[in-house]
Amino acid sequence: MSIIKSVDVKKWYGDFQALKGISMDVAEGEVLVIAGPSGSGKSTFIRCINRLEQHQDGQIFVDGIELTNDLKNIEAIRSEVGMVFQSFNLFPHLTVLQNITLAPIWVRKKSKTEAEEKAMELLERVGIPEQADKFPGQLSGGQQQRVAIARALAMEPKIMLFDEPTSALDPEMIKEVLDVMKELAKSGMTMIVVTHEMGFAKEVADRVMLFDDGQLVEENTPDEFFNNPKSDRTKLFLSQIL
Amino acid sequence: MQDNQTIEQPPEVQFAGISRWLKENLFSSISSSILTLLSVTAVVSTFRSIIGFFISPEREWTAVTYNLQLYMVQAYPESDFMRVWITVGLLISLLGLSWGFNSLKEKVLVKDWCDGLLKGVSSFLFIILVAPSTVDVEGVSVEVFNSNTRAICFGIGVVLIIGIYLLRKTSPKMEIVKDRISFLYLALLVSSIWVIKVPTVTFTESNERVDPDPFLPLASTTTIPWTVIFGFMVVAYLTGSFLKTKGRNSMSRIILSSWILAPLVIVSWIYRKPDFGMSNILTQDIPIAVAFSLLGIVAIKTLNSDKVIPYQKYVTYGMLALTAVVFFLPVLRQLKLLFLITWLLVSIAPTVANSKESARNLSIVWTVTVFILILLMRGASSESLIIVPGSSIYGGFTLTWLIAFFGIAISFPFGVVLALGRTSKLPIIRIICTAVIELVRSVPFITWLFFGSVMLTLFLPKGVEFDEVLRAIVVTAIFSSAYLAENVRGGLQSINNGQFEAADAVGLSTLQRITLIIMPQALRAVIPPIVSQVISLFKDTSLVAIVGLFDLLYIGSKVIPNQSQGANFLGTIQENILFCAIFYWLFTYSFARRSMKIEKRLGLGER
Repeated sequence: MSIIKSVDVKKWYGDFQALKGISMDVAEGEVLVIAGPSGSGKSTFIRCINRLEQHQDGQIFVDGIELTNDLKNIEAIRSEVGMVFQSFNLFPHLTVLQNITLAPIWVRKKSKTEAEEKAMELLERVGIPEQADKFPGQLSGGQQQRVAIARALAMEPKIMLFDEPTSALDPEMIKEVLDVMKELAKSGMTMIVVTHEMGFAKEVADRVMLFDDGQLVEENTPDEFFNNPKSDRTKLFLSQIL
Repeated sequence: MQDNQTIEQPPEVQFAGISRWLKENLFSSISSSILTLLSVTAVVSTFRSIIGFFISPEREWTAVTYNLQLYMVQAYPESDFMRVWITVGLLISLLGLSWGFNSLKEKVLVKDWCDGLLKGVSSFLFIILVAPSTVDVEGVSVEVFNSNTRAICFGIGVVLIIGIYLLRKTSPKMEIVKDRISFLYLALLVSSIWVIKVPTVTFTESNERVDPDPFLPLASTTTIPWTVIFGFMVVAYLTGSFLKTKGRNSMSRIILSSWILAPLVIVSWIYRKPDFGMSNILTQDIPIAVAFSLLGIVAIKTLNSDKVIPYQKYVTYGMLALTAVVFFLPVLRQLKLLFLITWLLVSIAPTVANSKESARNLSIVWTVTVFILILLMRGASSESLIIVPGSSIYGGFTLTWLIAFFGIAISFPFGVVLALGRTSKLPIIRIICTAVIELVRSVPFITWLFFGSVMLTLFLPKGVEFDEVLRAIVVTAIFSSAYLAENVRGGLQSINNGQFEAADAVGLSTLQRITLIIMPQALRAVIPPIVSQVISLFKDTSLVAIVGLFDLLYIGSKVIPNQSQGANFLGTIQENILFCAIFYWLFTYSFARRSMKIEKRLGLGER
């Protein structure tokens, strides 16, 4: 049973068409990696999934709910879908612990102690429990991104979206973030990852997609994708980045 | 992470000796030497003439010292001064409490403190050195500062410097809590009012003014209250620190609400001495308060029971309609207000009180709010027993403070709302807010004051009349909120779009996003412009004199220099204006210092 389903999704920025009819679906527990050159619409597409961007044509269903302008639906979906951004977007005026407990307390109406226990558990999981009382500005990029992952997980989402989570990081810090993501993938979380880390795709993904010019060019298993790609565009892409 | 490594310290900067310092900083080249000499001459001669101005026998400082009471409270009757002292004491105790509770107990090296003291004493020595010994009075040179006094003052300064230097030498690494230093200074200030002597007006038996004015100690009606208030402040500070160590974090909310309530209580109960009339309180207020608090508690309970949940919306609409109806009925004002806040309660109760614990908390808050509101309104609507012929009971610094405080306090929420409205996506709200801001900003403050004083009554329904002071406060608040809105809008625009997206992505509602994520960051970014605005508003309160109110500056510039009966202070405008300038400076400078500290504290770990 697919947990995310998109049917012919189209989106324009002014006259520029960013998405030219994307149809795909993601099964529960699946790890999907979306690759593609800059400006190919891959970020736009996953941002449509939790309505940070609005698609103008087509349909997106998340966990059986269709994304429309209905605020109730959007809020329901956002609390089921966690998102990790390229530039972390932690709240700079709150400590790490407050960053993680904010949404559980205000959206899920958990008690403070309960939320804090859960947050410490998650910080253990991403490997930085000792940073709980620091402010985001005092952490390294890799640590910030791990906090951002913990913040998204604190809402106990069914789906996690990663929008180029390692693109803003130093090479040394990429590994620590990818390790957390691998561990998450093994725990059975449904994940959509937009990334240029092909090593991650090879090792963890169940499926790899290539976006180009607002279109879904190729959809394949990692094995086939890297060793035996169907389309010429994929071959060109792989030859340029590998 | 690097605990086991020895951390290398930067080399300590050695002081290379006075001659080298002078050469490097003041006489490094011919042009810099000339500049140094010129500016030193300019500074010394300026200070000479300023000091000469202050200590010239022509100055009649008695005009200030004799009129301090007028400056502070204007014509407030002396028989009720206890009320003024209670007001001051209440505010200062509250200050002590929140100081003790919020203090970070920062420490400062005794060495650094001594350095500061040395600077202070050196300035004192400088003033003693450059003070002129004679001053020209109408062409005749008069001695104002004889060499003996100068030698004694100089000696005191030198002894102080040696003492401080020794202290600095003997305890180089010792630390001291900053608050203790502040209390030391305050204690010195309070004890100084017991020994200090000021020039005072006295009369002979034939009712002629004694000339020159004798120097007399301050009256016990001044010294005793200040000493008692200082004692209260110390106790409050210690209580605050104690509660902090006990980890009573709910205290922070209690302190905040006391700060909001204190001025209201002062204005409606203490300062005005309202004619309460126990019968009114017993027959009207208490029954109304009990009824409404019960109503609220029942509403909180039933609104969240499963049966009523589908109808929550209709209850809110019904309450709104009822409030509108009550508003136009000839009933007590208290009832109108209570219906309004009951409507607020039923609209927030479903979201706020969704668990048993929060429902209980909301019920308590509701009951307390109802009782306080009712009693405050009774105080405010009762006749004041303090009557000042010909003017308002608020005058002098009391008026300045009142208008500045309420002007700022009221303008804050309005300014924030206007800023949000102007950046809103809803076109009607955006247009209205933009129009209000632009209209208010583009007309001078004085014009608005006239508008409030002369024309506001034309727009209000017949029979509704505001006190002149209240009108000035309302106008100040409106004016200031337009400026504040623009400042806050600047802060809103400085916030990265990613913050909005992150708040959306974790599922916060629009209201939560604004109050928890956006506003705290936006306000933090605009502390400096907001503080400048507060400072300029504080000074602009002097403009209310134009609509016939007696503020601090008006008393200094018009009232005292025209006193001709009793003590004759005709034409003492220079002294009084100088005093006002120093008084304003003391307050605005301490705002500025305070805000620097707040900025530092909030900037902790940011970005």
